[in-house]
Amino acid sequence: MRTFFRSGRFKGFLAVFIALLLGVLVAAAVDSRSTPASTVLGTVFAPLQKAAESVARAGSGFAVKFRSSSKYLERIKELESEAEEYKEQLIDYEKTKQKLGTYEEFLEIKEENPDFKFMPAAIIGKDGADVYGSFTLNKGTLDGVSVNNPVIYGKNLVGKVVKAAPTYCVIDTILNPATYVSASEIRTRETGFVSTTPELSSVGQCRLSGLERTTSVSPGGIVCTTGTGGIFPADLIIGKVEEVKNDTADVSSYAVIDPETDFSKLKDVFIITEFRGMGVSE
Amino acid sequence: MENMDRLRFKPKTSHIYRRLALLCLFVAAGVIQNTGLLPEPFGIPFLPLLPLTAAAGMFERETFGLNFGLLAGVIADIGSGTPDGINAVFYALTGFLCGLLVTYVFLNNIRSFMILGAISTLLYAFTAWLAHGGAAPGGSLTLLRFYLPTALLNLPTLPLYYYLVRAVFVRFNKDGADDHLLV
Repeated sequence: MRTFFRSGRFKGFLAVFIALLLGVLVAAAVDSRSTPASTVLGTVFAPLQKAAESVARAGSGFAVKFRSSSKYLERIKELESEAEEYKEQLIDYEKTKQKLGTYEEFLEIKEENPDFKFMPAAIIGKDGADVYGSFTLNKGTLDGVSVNNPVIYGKNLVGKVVKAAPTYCVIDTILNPATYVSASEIRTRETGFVSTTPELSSVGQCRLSGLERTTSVSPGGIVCTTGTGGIFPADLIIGKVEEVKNDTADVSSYAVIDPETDFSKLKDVFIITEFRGMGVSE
Repeated sequence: MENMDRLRFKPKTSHIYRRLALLCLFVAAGVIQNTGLLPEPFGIPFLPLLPLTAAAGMFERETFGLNFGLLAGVIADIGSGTPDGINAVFYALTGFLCGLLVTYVFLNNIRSFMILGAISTLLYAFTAWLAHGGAAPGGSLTLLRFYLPTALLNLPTLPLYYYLVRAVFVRFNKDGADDHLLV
């Protein structure tokens, strides 16, 4: 027995036992409840474990795919076609929503102005050689459209017809320096005329000129048509005042206007073919 | 003998087919130009009608160059806010002069076309600029920001139109009756 306790085997066993005991004590003392050794080993083996696990998962997935690949493919196709359908429906919905919004505004205008006669029209072309972005509509003289008819989008003024053929017409927007509109700012009722310059047009803006130096027009004011001149009816929105500046050419001021409509994104508009006061210049 | 070859009876059907094919080409180009079907890099549109007119003038010579120019100009006028006829006159003159110059001065090759096409494109840029109120105060801005860049960015596309018209010409000239127009 004494020889056993003195033997190397016992000493080895004792060393392992003490080591284990120490490990247990350390594990008990540490919150993570894992020994440094297991932590080290775990750290070393974790990537391998992960790799093995992912291989196992892939293997099991492959087996499932292999087992019923045709079923899954069918299901995927079904789901894809369903998703496609929903996508189309969503696009239709968005388009309808947009159109509805526009038509609601038109209806409002129609209710406010029963004398207006509208003609819906779609943009079918644009003049690539025109820097001011004139465009072609699919309605012409056969539909009752004539030169100088105003064109609107919602409550906003877009421009006027400058050329009318039997089946189409060409529109100059208010961003063309050749277009002049009699207008006023609705809060102050100060009147002037809206036109643009090549510089302002290049950034999509126009100006309300002819204001007095002491003008009380301020940024944020809404500029509308006055109806004077017989080309544009009254109360169509032209845009919002962005800033007021003094004209360097004379003693007047002008307001820089930001039109509400992005003319480059227009698809459908309305042509006003008739309104009270049309062609009557005051 | 060469003159006799030139004077010999030419099969009219090939001429008709060729000009019909060119007509289709012009209509397609007109649709592209007037509707903005192609993407516009940096907001610069493609203007294919004018170089096509120049190329047609070079191959068909002055009379049909004038006719095709007139057609292209009318197509361009359809979508334009400028008074009718400005494009028609410019395009017709382009077709006619290109035909005339190739008959008497230039050879009918890509180099000549590049010269004539570039000159006509740049001249058109100035004409369009003037027609769209370029002379008004501040108008020089649109020339520098839109019309000149449009002309310059359209220049690299010129060879395409030459080879298109040439392909149509060669396709309907299999009997070689109009070989003299290729030089």
